[in-house]
Amino acid sequence: MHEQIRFDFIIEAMTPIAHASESIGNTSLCMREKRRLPDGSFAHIPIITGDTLRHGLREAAAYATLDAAGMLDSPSLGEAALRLLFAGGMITGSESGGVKLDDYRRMVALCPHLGLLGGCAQNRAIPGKVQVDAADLICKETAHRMPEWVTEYLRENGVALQSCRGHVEEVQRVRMDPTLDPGKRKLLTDGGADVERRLLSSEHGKEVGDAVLAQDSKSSMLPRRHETVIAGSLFFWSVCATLHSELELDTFRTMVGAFLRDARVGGKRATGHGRIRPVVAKQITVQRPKEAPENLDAGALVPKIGSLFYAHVNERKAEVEAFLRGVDS
Amino acid sequence: MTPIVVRATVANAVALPGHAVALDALLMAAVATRDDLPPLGFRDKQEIAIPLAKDREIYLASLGLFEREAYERRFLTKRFPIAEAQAFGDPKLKRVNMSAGLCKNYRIPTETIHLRDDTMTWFAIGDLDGVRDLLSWVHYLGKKRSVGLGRVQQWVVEECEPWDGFPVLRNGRPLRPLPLDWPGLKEYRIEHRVLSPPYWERWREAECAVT
Repeated sequence: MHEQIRFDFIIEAMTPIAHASESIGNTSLCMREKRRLPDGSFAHIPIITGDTLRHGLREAAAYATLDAAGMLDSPSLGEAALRLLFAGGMITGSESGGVKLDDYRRMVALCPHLGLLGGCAQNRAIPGKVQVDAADLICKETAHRMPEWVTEYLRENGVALQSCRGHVEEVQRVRMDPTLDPGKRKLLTDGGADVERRLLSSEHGKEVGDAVLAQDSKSSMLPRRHETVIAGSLFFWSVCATLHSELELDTFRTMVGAFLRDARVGGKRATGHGRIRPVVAKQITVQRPKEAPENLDAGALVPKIGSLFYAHVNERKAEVEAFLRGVDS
Repeated sequence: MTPIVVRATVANAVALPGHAVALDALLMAAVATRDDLPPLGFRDKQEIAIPLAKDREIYLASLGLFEREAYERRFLTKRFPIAEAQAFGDPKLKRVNMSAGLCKNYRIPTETIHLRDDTMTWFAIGDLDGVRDLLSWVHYLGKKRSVGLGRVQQWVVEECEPWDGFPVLRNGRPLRPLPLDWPGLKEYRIEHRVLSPPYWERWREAECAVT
C-alpha cells in the first residue's frame, strides 16, 4: 500500500479560543501569522498553530495506545516513556551508534502512532509521516485561499465573511484578592487585623501621594487582559499523511478521530476556552486525483474506525508495557 | 535526459535556516517517502536512485532559487507532560527536573520567510516524467514541515532552453556547491559544503565554489 491521504476540515470554535502568542504588559495577544492577500500584500491572521494541533493528535494517539494496552488504570510509566509518548521524546545521547533497525521496527510495531508522528528514541530523531497544517481563520482576508468546496459550503450555508479583526475580542479577567472580602478576612488567625492595617496604609499612601507606600501595601488583585478568537468562528484545517499499510491508515484515522472527539486548543481551557468541533470533513487521497473526493461525516468518524489499531495494540499489550518500561527517550 | 525547470508554488511561509533546498536531495527524500525507507541511521548507505543526470559524481541540478520577500518569527517549544506524569507516572517517579536535563522546557525563536511570488525554482538535467512523478510525493518544503510550513500548492515541471553551464552555472556563477576545478566557474566564493546528498553529513564537507 502506498497512499497519501489528506483530511480537510472546517472547524468551528465552540467556545472562545485563547491561543496566545505573547504578552505585552498584562495583555496576551492571540496567535497570528502572515498570510498573503490577493493584491500580494500581507496581513496578520489569527490561526491555531500546526504545533498545537499536532500535539493534540499526539496526545490523543498516546491515550488510545495506553487504553488499548490496558495501561490507563495502572500508573506505570517512567520519565522516558512519558516524554516519548506525549512530547515526542528527546535525544538522550546515551549511545554513540544509531538505534538498531530491529529496535526501530519493534517500536513502530508496538506503538504504531510513533511511526506516523515520529519522535526521538535513544540518540536518533525519527521523522514522522504526518504533516499538520495550521488552522486558518476563515475570513475576508483568507477567503481567496480556501478550496472550492469550502467556498461552496459558506455560500450554501449563508456564512457572511467578516474581516479577521471582527473575530478577535479583547476581554479582561481578574484574579481576586480574597483578603479584600471582609467575610473571608474573618477567617484569618488574627481576624484580619493585619490585612486591614495594610490596606489602610495603602489607601493612606494614595491619599498623600506616597507611591512607594501605596505600591508596597496594595492588594494582590490581578486584572489582566487577553485576546480571544470568538466562539462560532470557522477555521480551515488540513492534515496529511503518507501511509504504507492498513494499520497505519487505521491508526491515522483513530488519531484524528480521537482528537476531534473532544478537541481543545490554546490556553484557559479550565475556564471555558478552546473547544473546537469539526463541522465538515473531507478525505482526499492525494495520489489518485481522478477519484472524486469522498465526503466523510465528521460525527461518524469515530465509531467506524480504530478496530484494527486497538486489536493490534491490545494483542501486544504485554510487549507494549515492557517496551515503555525500558525505553530510552 | 532533458534540460528541465521545476517550479514550486508554496501556500505559506517556509523555514530554511540552513542552505536552500537541493533538488537531488528532495527527490531522494521523495523516494524514501514512497518506499517507506527507514531513516538513514537505521539502514545501509546505499545511494537512492533518482532520475537526474550526474557529472563527476555530482547531480546536475541547482539549489532552489528564490527571493525573500518577508520574514516572520515563531517559536519552537517543548514542555514535559507534567499532567500526564502525575496521572500515569510510575510510583517510583518522584521528582522531575524541569530546569535542566532531558525534561527541561524550551522555547526557541526561529525565523521563517515568505518567498517572492511564493515561488522556488530549480534547474536540472533529468527525466521529466520521472521527476514529475517523484515530486507528487512532496507536499512540503524546508524545515518544520510536520507543522505545515512550506506547503506546496503546485508543482510545475517542464522542459526549458539550456544555457552555457546549465544547470549548475549561470554567467559563471555556481547555482549549487561545485568543486573548485569545475569548468566555467568565474565568480564564486569558497565555502566548506557537502557535494552530494544527504547534505547534512557535515563530516563530508570540502572546499566548494558557491555564489
